[in-house]
Amino acid sequence: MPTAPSLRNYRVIEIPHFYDPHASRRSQIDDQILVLNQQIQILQMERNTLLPISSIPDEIFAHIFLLCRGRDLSNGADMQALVQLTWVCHHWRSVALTTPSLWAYIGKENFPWAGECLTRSKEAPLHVVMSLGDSSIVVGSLVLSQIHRFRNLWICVDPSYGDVNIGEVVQGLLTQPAPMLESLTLNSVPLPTPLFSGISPFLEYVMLRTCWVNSWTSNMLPFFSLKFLSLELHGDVSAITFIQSLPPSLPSLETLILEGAFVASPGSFSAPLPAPVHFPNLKTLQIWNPYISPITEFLPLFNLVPSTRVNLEFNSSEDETLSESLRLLRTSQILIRPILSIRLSHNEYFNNSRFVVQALRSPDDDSPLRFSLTHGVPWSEMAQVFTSLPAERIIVLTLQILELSVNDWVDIFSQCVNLEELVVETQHTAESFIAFIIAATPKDFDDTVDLASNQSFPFQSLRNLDLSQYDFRSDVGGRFFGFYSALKVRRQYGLRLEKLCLPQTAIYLDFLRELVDEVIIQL
Amino acid sequence: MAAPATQQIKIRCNDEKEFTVDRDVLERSVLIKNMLEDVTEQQDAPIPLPNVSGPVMAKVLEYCTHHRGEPLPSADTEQSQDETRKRTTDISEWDQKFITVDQEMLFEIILAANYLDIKSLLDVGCKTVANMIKGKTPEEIRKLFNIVNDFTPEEEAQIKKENEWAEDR
Repeated sequence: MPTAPSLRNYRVIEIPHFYDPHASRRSQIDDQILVLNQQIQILQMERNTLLPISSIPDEIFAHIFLLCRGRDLSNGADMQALVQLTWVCHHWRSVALTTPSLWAYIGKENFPWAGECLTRSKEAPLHVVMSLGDSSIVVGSLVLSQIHRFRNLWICVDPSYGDVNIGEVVQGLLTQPAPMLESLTLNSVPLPTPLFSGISPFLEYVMLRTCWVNSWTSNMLPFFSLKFLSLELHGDVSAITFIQSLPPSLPSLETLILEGAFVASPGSFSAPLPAPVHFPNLKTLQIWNPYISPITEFLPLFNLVPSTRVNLEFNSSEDETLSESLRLLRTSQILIRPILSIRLSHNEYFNNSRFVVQALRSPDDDSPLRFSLTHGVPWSEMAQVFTSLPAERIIVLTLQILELSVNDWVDIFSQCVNLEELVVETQHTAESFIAFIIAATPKDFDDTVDLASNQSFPFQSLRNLDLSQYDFRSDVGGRFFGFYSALKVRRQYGLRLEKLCLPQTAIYLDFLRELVDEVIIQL
Repeated sequence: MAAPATQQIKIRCNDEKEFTVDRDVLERSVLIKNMLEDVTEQQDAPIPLPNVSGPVMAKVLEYCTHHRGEPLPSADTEQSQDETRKRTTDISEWDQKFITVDQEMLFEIILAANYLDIKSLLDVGCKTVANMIKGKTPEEIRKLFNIVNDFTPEEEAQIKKENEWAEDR
């Protein structure tokens, strides 16, 4: 009987690789597929060049891509759309990647990809919009190292909670020369002295909001091309020093806006004021300030040419001094248009209405009014106060009111006959306003009727209309077309809107642009 | 007294099609305007336009006739237009109807506007194409213009990898 073989009798033998009779052929086929794929790709690329759209020259293609991305970079850029265009085919990718200006935008849309955009944009002038905080300072510093390429720069610095003082980092980077910079907006940034080492020959527009500096000196902003300067100074008393330092360094300045520069209480500037300073080319001086009396003290500091337009806006309740300040302003030699800004909200209703009635009933006061009713004050409550106002002096009216009917609008416009700007801040109010326009406007133009001189025709003086809170998409009743027709008829009567603000969701813009000088889309 | 007669100019396209057009209409084209200014004596021979066909020229003339008398964009006005209209892709109602043509004609109009140097027409054409593209995925764009995807899978993977941030949004 045979015995079972012992395992010890086995030896390990080397098993030869499994013989694959097709390996060689398969490899050949793979090579052939590779070649064929390459040939297919070449054929696909050639086929694409024979398409009607491929007859468009590359430079026009690049322009079309620019339109897709958005040309006006102040409204941001659709960088995602641009990137997707590079995925369509080789030709489109090549056009996009060889057009540096397409990538010369850095904003929140493409901030994580800023390094790649810096590379792709080569030496094209950059448009940069950055909000810098702890998590973004590294990329932000990389971008700011390219200041020599910047054409437009907007920076806001968030409070820092980390180890790095972001403000100091940005301040250091702003000492680099900016030879191509045209527009600068800084928010909450400590300023170096001087900015950009004084080298920024094309800088025309500067807006500084809540920025700070140790002391203003005449070489702080040595930009001889600067035409527009807006400063939010927060009542820094050194504003005197600041104003004095401006004219030698800014001979081209045309617009100066000072916001909150003079918050000190009346009479605090007891020291004799320095000699007036001359702004030879200043066309507009705009001062927004809580109090008016410090402005009347400061205005003699500006030795303005007669053609300078001065707008003062204030909102204080200086009951006792207001009338006197207004009288002083009106008797001064410069042409001043003070606008008293009054904001009535529900909580402040009683205090403010007392102030309003006291201040505005002054017999020698005829200054224009900016009037705001906010926080959902019901019109039924406000109507009485409104009718007690000298409504003919209201030139700017902001309404955030619920339950406003078409008849209420009739009341408002029969009183506010000099209204230049209307801001409507709620959907319902905007709806009733549009219904009012449609109802109050004739359906067709009649050249035998001189409606433009008819005082009963509403809002003849209106120039600016802000409907940026109105969502036309919910326009199920077709109000838009009634609105459009009314504007068209009004225009035929010579009553033209200069500015119309609409929300980002606005539709039918093409129609409106034909009727209004400027349509602004509120982002 | 009768108003002076408008000068009529003849043009000949690459398909021998000829048009006789008022001079002010033709002068919407900077190319033709310059050509006419260079010629001091009146010539009867038609101006040859070897890069434009008759049907396309007919469309271009329709546009020029509608916009005759409007100021030609100079460098300054273009800049101010930039500021006021913010260079959006909005097109006026008439222009939109005018440019509602098939793709081939659209691209021919763009080429003609470029050749004839009619900036406003070129702008309308480019905005129309941009509006056709905007909001579409790459695949939708390919379908719209009959483009085939000529990227290899490896290339596509590489491209999408380098642009991951754009996909995540």
